Amino acid sequence: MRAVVRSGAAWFLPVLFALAAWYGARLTVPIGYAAGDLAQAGIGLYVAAPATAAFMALQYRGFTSLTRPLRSVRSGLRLAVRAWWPLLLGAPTALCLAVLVSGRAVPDDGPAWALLAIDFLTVLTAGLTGLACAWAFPAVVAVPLAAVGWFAWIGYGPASASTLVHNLDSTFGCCSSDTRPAAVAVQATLLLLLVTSASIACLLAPARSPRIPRLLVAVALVAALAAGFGAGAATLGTSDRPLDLTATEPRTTSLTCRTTYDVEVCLWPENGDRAVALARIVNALGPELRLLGLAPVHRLVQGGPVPDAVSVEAGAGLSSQDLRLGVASGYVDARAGCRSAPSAARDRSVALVALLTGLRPDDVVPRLGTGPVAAAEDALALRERTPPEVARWFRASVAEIRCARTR
Amino acid sequence: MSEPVLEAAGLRFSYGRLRRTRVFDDFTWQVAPHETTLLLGPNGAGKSTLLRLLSGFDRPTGGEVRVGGVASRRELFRRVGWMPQDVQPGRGMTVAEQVEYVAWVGGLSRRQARDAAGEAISRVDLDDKRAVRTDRLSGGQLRRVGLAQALVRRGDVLLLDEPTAGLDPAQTLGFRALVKDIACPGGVVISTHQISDLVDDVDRVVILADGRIRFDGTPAGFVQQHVSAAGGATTLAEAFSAIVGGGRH
Repeated sequence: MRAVVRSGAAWFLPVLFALAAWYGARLTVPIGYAAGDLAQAGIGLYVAAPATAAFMALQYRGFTSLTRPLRSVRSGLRLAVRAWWPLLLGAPTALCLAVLVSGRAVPDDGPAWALLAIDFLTVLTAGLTGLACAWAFPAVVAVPLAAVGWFAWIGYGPASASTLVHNLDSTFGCCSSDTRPAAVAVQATLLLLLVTSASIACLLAPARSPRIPRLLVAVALVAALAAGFGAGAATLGTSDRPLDLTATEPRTTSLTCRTTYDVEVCLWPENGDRAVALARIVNALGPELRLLGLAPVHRLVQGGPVPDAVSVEAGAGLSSQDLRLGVASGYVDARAGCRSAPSAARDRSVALVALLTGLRPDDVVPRLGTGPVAAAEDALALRERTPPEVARWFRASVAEIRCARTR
Repeated sequence: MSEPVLEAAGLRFSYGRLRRTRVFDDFTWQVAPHETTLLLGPNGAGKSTLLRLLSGFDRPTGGEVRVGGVASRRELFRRVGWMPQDVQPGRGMTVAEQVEYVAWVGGLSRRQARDAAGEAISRVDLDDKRAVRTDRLSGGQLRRVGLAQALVRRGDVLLLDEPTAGLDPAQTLGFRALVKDIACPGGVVISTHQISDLVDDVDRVVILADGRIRFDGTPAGFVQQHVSAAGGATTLAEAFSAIVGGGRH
C-alpha cells in the first residue's frame, strides 16, 4: 500500500481513469459491436499514453542517484519494477477500465480482446519509455520528451492512422458493424509494442548489476530486436497483404437470421432486436414496389453487399428514419449490383425508395439534399397515372450509378 | 595477526577517457582485520576512489580487489559495507523502508531484508525515526541512515567515506561514538581529510597522498615518529602537512 502512495499511483491513476473515460465517452458513438465500440473508446490512449510516459519520467527523477551507489545485485529493471509497479501495471489497467466504461462494451470476440491487449501494452510501453527517458536524461528533458514523443507518435506518427492504437478519423472504416481490425494489423501493432518494451527492458536491466554482464545485455538487446524484425519479416512473408498498422478486414462473425413478415432478416448478434423493425419497413415497402413493377425485397443482410439480398445497417444508434434510409440505400445498391459511389443518380434513386418507405421529403432532404428529393418527388407524381414510367425513371437512374472502389 | 579479509593487489586506476588522470598505479594494501583504520589524506589524495574500488563500486583498470581471497565483484557487494560521502534520501521512503529497500537491493529476500533493516536501524540509534520520511531528516540523522545502509548487508568489512563531513561538533561526536561501538571482523576503514579526526578511538592510521601510502601504523607511532622526533613538527597538523608534501589539506 505504501508503494501505491509513494509512487503517486494513489492520485494519478484515478485522474488518468477519469480523463481517459471522459475523453473516450465524449467521442464514442456506440454501435453495439464490442470491437467497434472499444476501438472508438481507445481514443483515451491519446490522453493516457503521453500522460503516463511523462508522469513516469517525473517520478523516476532522483531514483538513479539513490540506487546507483547501492551496488545492486539485482537488475535495474527489477529495481524499477519494485519501486514503480503500481504505476507500470496500474496505468494500463486504468486505461483498459476507462475504455470498457466509455465504450460501454465487454469484449466478446478475438478482435475485441486484441484491441484491449493493445491498449494495455501501449500504456505499459509508454510507462517504460518514461522510465528510459528519465534514466538517460535529466527530468527537465525527460518529462517533455516522453510526453511529446508519445503525443507525436499517436497524433502525427504512423499510429495516427492506426485503427488500433488510435482512431481519430471517424470516417475511417475500422470496426464499424461490418469491419474489424485485420489479423495482420493486430500482429504488426503487438510486435511493435513488444519489441519496444523488450528493448527498453534490456536497456534498463543492466544498471549496476554484477550478475548481468554488459555483453549479455548487448546480446539480449540484439536478440530482442532480431526477434522483432524476424517475426515481422515472417509475418510479411506469410501474409497476403502488407504489414500495415491501418488494415481492416470484413467481420466474419456469423449473422443471426430470422424470418418475419415473409422477410428473412440476417443481422449481427448485437443488433438482433432491430430485425422486426426492419422487416416491418420492408413489408410496407413491398406493395409500393410491386405497384411500380419493381422487384420486392425478400432478404435483408447486415454488412457488405450479398447477392440476392439487400444490405442494411442496423446499429444500436440508428433511428427509425436511419433504418428506412438504410433500406433504401441497400435496395439501390442491390439493383446496381455493387456498393454504389456517391453521385446525383444514386441520391435521387435512394430518395425515391426512401419516399416509398414512408419517409417524408423533409426527413430525406437533410441527408440527400434538395435536388435529388425534388427529382424523386417529380418522378413519384407520375405514379398515379403511369407507374411503369416511374420504374423506367428508376432503372435509368440506377444505370447511371458507378460502383464505389473497395479498399 | 589473522588473515586480512579485504585487500588491494597491484591496483591501477585512472579517470577520464581521452586525457587520463592516473590515481593509482600498482597500489597494494590490506585492511587490518578487527581494527578501525583512519584513512587520512588531503583532498584529491585518492581516499574516496580507494574506498569506491574496495567496495566494488568502481572497477580497477588493473590489478584486483580480493575479499576473503576471492576477486569477485559480487562478493565485494555482499561482504563489504560502504557508506558513500553523499547519502541520498529516497522519495517518500521512511527510514525503515529505505534501509529495507537497500537490503533487498543487496540480495536479501524481503523477509530477511525486513529483519536486517530493523537490526541495522537499532544499531545506529534511529529506532524512534523508523516511520519518518528520510527526506525530512537532519544531516546527522541522514548519515546514520547511510551507516544503517552500510550495515544492513551484514558484511565483514565496513568502509565509511568522510562520514562526519558537514556535521556540527555535537553530531560529529555522536557519530564517532556510534562507529566506535561497531565491530566488524574484517575491519572498519574511515576516510577523512581532517587531522582533527585522528583520535584515540582508531587502531591504525594510514596517510594517503598522490595515490601512495605515506604512513601506515598506530596513532601512537605516528605521534612518536613525526611529532615528538627531535627537530620534527610540534603539532599533528604540521606532521601531517610534512608527510603529504605541505600545505594542501
